[in-house]
Amino acid sequence: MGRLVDWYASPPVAFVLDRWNRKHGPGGRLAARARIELWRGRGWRWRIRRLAFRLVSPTPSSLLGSFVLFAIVASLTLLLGGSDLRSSRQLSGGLETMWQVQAALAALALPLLGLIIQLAGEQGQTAARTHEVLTRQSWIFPISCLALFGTLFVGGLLVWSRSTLGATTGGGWLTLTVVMALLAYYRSLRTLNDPLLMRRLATKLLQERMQNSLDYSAALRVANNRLLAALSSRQATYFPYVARSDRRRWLVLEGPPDMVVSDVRLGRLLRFIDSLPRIAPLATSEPQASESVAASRADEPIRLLKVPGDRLLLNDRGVLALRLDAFAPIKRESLGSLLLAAFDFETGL
Amino acid sequence: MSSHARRLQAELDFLRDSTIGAIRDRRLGLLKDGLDVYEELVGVFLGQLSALDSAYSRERALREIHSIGEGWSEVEWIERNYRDILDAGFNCEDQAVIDDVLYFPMRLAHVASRHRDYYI
Repeated sequence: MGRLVDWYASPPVAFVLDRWNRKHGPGGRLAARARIELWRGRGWRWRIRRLAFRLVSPTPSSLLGSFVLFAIVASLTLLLGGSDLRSSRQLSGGLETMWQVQAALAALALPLLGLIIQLAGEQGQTAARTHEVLTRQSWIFPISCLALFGTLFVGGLLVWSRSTLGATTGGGWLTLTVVMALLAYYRSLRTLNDPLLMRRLATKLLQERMQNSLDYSAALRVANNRLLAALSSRQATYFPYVARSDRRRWLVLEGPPDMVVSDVRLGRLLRFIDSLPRIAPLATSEPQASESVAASRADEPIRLLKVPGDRLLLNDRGVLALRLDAFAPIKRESLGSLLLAAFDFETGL
Repeated sequence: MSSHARRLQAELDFLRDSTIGAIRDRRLGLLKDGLDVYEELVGVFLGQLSALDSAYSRERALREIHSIGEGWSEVEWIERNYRDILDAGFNCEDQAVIDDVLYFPMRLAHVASRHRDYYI
């Protein structure tokens, strides 16, 4: 058991788990499936709005989206346009001019707008900071990405593909960047000069963040519902939820010392419980873990239980409790590694 | 706590500070704006529950409120913020401010009744 605990606490594994939990919070893996199902249950309009929220803010999704667009357009242009290095001087001159305008946009116009946004004082709204609202409203980050990738793109055309298709695509990209940059200025200045709009946008930004947080909380609760429903159908439960006065009825299996449960691997945990010797076989009509979210929602939509990791900090080391009247005598020492494989442990959260 | 929750908590702290700042400076428009935002956020919470077909009935709300487990963190943060705002409102001894702040729970009750929710 000790070796397994060491493996869980080893720096690379701890790093990955830490990254995961920073992003999803404790219980993230358990909740991930519920989150996907909840996501699927929403309409397309909701999904597009969520995607747009990610794309217009300075997020990895926005950077990745710009890069993917750049990669597709640049590859197609280089592949289909070919290279004609004997092309006319007019074509080369056109490409050079385009490159200069792109570079000016990327190096001057957009950073200047970024500076204006950063220096704009608070405009009298309470919900969010002015620069946050303007950064989102102006779409300055994706537009700057477009401009920088455009500079790279037109520069690449100048060196490798002075073709008519290249010039047309480069011109198209430049036009798109110029229009977007103008739009960024327009939207920023309009928002700065309209306090009502600023307030509305600030409120909307906070509402979106509330929605994001609630999505995670709801998914975690659905996952907890599922965990507890699956465990209780097998005469077991997640130990921290056993009332202190009721603990004599349970056989408690413990986790490693000085660690907390940061996640539960439901499939492994259920297989582990199913492999234990029982006094009487389980009735098959009881609910199983594969129940859909909708079914568990219909039963009891939102439970009062929350994050698995939080409770173990306050309680002792028990992670799983088995009903003494349902299971045959079990040697706890022999179960350690199987039990540990069903949970993710961390030194702290 | 997920990164989204941490971010929301930071944003709510900013909202609370702005609202308390508005109370101290007797800026009633800004105070109203802050309280409106809180009301909108509660509306988002209740809308989310409705979207999941999970609005709280009276029994479930009572069970959750009186349980030793935690409730919805998002609502707890709003509640905590409101307490701070209420304290600041009483400290400023301005009747207009106190009226706005004291009436706020009624506004929330109205929103909750529109969503047929008992948790708020």
